[in-house]
Amino acid sequence: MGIIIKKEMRHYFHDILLYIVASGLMLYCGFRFSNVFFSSEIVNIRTVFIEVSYILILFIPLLTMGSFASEKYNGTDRLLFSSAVYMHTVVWAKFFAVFFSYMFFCTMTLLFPMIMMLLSGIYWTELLLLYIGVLLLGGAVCAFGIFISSLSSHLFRALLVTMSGLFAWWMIDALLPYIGSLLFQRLFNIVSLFTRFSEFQSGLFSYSSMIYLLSVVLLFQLLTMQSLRIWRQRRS
Amino acid sequence: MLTVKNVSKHYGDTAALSGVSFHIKQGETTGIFGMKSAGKTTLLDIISGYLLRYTGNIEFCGINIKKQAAFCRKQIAYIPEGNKLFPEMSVREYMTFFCGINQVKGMQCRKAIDDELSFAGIYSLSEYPIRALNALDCARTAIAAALATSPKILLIDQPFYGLRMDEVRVHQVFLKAVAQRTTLVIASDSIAGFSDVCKQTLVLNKGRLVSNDGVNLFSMADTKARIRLRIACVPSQAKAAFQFIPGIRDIDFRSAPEQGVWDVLIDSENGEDIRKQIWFAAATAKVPVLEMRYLHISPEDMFLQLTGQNQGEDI
Repeated sequence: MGIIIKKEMRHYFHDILLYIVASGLMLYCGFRFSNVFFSSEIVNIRTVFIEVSYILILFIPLLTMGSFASEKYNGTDRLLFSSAVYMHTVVWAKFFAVFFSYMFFCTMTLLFPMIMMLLSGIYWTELLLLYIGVLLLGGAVCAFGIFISSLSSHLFRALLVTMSGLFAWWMIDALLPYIGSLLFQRLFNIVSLFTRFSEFQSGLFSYSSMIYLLSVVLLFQLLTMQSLRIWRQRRS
Repeated sequence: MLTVKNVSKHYGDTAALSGVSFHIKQGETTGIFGMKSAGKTTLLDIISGYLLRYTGNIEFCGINIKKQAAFCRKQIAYIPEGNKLFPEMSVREYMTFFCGINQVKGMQCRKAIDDELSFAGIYSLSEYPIRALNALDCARTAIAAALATSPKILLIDQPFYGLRMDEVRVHQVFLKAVAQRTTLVIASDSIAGFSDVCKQTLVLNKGRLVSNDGVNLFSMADTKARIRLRIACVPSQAKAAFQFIPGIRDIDFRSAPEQGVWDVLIDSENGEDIRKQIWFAAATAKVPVLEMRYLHISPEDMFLQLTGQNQGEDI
């Protein structure tokens, strides 16, 4: 598994696009942080980090789009799946490669709480819970993105569908209070990822949300394996 | 070493492979030839373990490849059409990655990579990015990486893909050297350039094996295996005259341009010279023979005949 993770991460960190997006992210974080910190009398760093966490999530489709789509497009999936590694090992390795890269970008944003800590003080527990939430939600989105990538052999299509999926998920969350039907409200509540994340945002550690998000990861990983299995059988 | 028994694979209603059976001996180089969509890649995909759903049975060293898939995949290296390398990697990085996914690690991996880079003659290119290599060096990189895992069988789909004519000649020599080291299975849609490499040839046409197991297309060609006879009598009379000649494999009648004249195509077993027997049989049965000659068939002609591409064959 290690060799595939290494290869994938190397691929991400050799891509100029990643650095451009990461620079944009840091620039935005810096701008928002300085805005909140210097222009308000009462500084609430949480609002900044909630914004940042959403941007971080939007960053994931860029990482996941090539996971399997590029392998299929280049035909290198034949190399991987005819080697001695099992398919589930490849799928998990791809997931961890994306997740570790995502973690790296999350870690970059820790610069701002550190500056705050030097200047005044910070509620570390609150921040820690927020980051746990960001990582768990990120994990679920990574698994979703990898699943979409496994369905397509075009990078841009995979990116577009993952983005649209995320937007739809977001919309579910936004529309939730306006839905009249109790049945639909319950149904939407079940599939809403961001509701689970909001518990971590408000500084609460919820086991049920954690298990839910981890289950989403597992579900999409299994779906990815299934979609790859079907792809291999249909390929001629 | 590898026994393929009655393997079939369907994509919906289309049969990619229908009841293909053959055996490959250890150290023997086998060429699988066929036109586009003949089922070559599907067959290699199945042997390599990439395709898992098919009917029939494949045994590798007596082990069913479905039952011990990971073990068999480690022993069988597969180079897909176009080599399929990772362009962003250097040659050494790619080889390390390929060894890694085939569970060859540490010192053993490093030594194997150095040995194979030298064997393939690309040691000086080891730190070059793959995207900077030409097609020949890419092909050598793919083979060197596969050999570094010490496979028992090496499957190569279209080994001359993307190569210029001069590069093909160079690569032919390299493939011959590779064939000395491992059991090689090559798939190609053209037989050109493989006469020195392949000991056994299998011809696929529309998913069916149309050549006999163990036959070499290259040694069969240009032998005295086929005789064309032009006779001036009805086919049944000639058939009755020739049917008891030993060594005849097949007799086929075709109408000749002249009226009442037929062309008889006689295939002898193992290229045996049966001209005298035919002459005596024809004389005894009073079959007027207007002409008798060998049909010199090149491997390419034979390949085209087997794959049904040579409709108006030159006889």
